[in-house]
Amino acid sequence: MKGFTYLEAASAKEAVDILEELKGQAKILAGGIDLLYLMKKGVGPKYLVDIKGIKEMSSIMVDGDVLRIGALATLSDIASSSDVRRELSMLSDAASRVASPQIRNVATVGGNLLQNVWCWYLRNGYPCWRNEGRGCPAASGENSTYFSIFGGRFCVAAQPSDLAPVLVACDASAMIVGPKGTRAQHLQSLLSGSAAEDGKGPPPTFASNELLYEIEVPRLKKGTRTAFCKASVRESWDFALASVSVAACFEGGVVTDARIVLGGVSTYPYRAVEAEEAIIGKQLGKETIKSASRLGVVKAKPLQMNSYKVMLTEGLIYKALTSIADDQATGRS
Amino acid sequence: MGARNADSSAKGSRSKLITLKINGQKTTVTVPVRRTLVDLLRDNLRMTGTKRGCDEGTCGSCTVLLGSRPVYSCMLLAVNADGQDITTIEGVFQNQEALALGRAFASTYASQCGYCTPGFIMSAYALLRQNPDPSERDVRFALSGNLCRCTGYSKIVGAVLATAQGLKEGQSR
Ligand SMILES: Cc1cc2nc3c(=O)[nH]c(=O)nc-3n(C[C@H](O)[C@H](O)[C@H](O)COP(=O)(O)OP(=O)(O)OC[C@H]3O[C@@H](n4cnc5c(N)ncnc54)[C@H](O)[C@@H]3O)c2cc1C
Ligand code: FES
Ligand code: FES
Repeated sequence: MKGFTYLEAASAKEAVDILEELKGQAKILAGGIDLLYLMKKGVGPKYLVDIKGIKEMSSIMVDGDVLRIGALATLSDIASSSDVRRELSMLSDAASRVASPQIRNVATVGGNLLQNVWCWYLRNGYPCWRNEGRGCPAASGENSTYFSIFGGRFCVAAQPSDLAPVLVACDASAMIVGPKGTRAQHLQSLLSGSAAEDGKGPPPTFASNELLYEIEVPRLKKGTRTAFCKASVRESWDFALASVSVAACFEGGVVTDARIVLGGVSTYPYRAVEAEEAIIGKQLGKETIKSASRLGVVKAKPLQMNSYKVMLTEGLIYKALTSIADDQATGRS
Repeated sequence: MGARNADSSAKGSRSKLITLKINGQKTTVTVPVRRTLVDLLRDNLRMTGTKRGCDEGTCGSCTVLLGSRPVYSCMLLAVNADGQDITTIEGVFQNQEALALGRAFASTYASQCGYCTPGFIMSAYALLRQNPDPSERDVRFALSGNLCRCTGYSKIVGAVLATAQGLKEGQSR
């Protein structure tokens, strides 16, 4: 495994001070699942700053109108939290399907959101732009699984986190501590950074001297129904080929507001705006669901080897919306 | 504050003195920070019951308990186990649930080449400790982070269910 120098931070401020001093050479160590995997392939930073001593960063709690999830909460903590189950069952569902029990017991939500992409080339040490090199070999290479069907400026690997699209569907924000204090940023814009910019470098929105402190999720409005669907080759231990997260608000049987977010098919959590518009103001009947599902992938531009994911995604949107419509019809919560 | 010299305050270290409680026994060692727990167990402490298969979090043969939770010891830095309770296959048979699991695995051919067995026992033991009366679904879910290339899993799931049943009957007797 690649060697490194180890530092421990006892507070968020101390972590940020260390990151600031080491000027881009250091990374935060949370659960270490993603970091260790990459370091064993020779990809990794010179310094690791261990933050597991910052105990308050693992808490999960309801605080007024928001659910606060500390960046160090493990995926098992999230899956077993009664607060999360009650407030946001689709997050429990998504968390309990990530990887395997042993990984969920260690992996943190912060690390899950900020993990590197699962591209064969990168994971085997290929020097693409994410690994001190240039170019994206997957764009014209093996891109059948964990890759985008909605394009990508300089990397075509999909955002791999199962939790990211769920949290974006709930309009969650990241609380970020940096040298100048704490700031909030919508998770959607934070995770879109790498996709939107000029193609010259890594995500500009999360600086190397910042710490993800916690995730703030607005509590769902009354009348909101949610669903999470994931398609993967294997039941466990496997990333999403595609996932769909839906939060739809109903009033008198009519959808008044909706967010439909796709995972595993884009370089960032992809809001299927066309599908959202197709259900807002309507009752969720079969025909509406059908056309919304088609519209959800209307902008797809698949790569050479992954056009099958377009149909898969359309089918998953159909499945997620149908489950919401069934819940609505039967009054199930 | 001004620019501080990176070398002065954020030096960090390449090795660390850690104390682990392994199978109830306190162990203090100095480890290079990049050593994983499975390497420490096997190569330094000569506890070779824990197997190193894939070494990248995708097989489960290195499973140990950190506190009461199963984790992959190949995906955990030894320094991150500092101060914690660790149970390995060498120590787990002090508990009756594990002993019963071991017997059931042996007598029902749930262990063939045996390489995956220590990891399965650790995961199954963690399950029975937390849920003494699991359904088949619970068992499959709890074992979903362990791979076996020989048995086809049915015998393993059967052994765990039979163990749970046996322990329950033993108690009510
Ligand atoms: C076999 C396998 C299967 C998997 N399957 C899935 C799956 O199905 N779905 C899924 O979503 N994921 C999956 N994963 C990915 C896994 O969930 C992540 O690797 C894990 O969540 C990372 O969390 P961590 O705490 O271990 O992160 P670490 O490895 O500690 O960190 C990951 C990255 O985030 C940065 N970071 C972490 N925390 C912070 C913070 N608070 N502030 C700033 N930076 C931070 C680190 O510097 C590093 O760059 C799988 C992984 C493996 C190995
Ligand atoms: S050796 Fe650790 S999971 Fe395979
Ligand atoms: S018995 Fe051989 S791998 Fe499981």
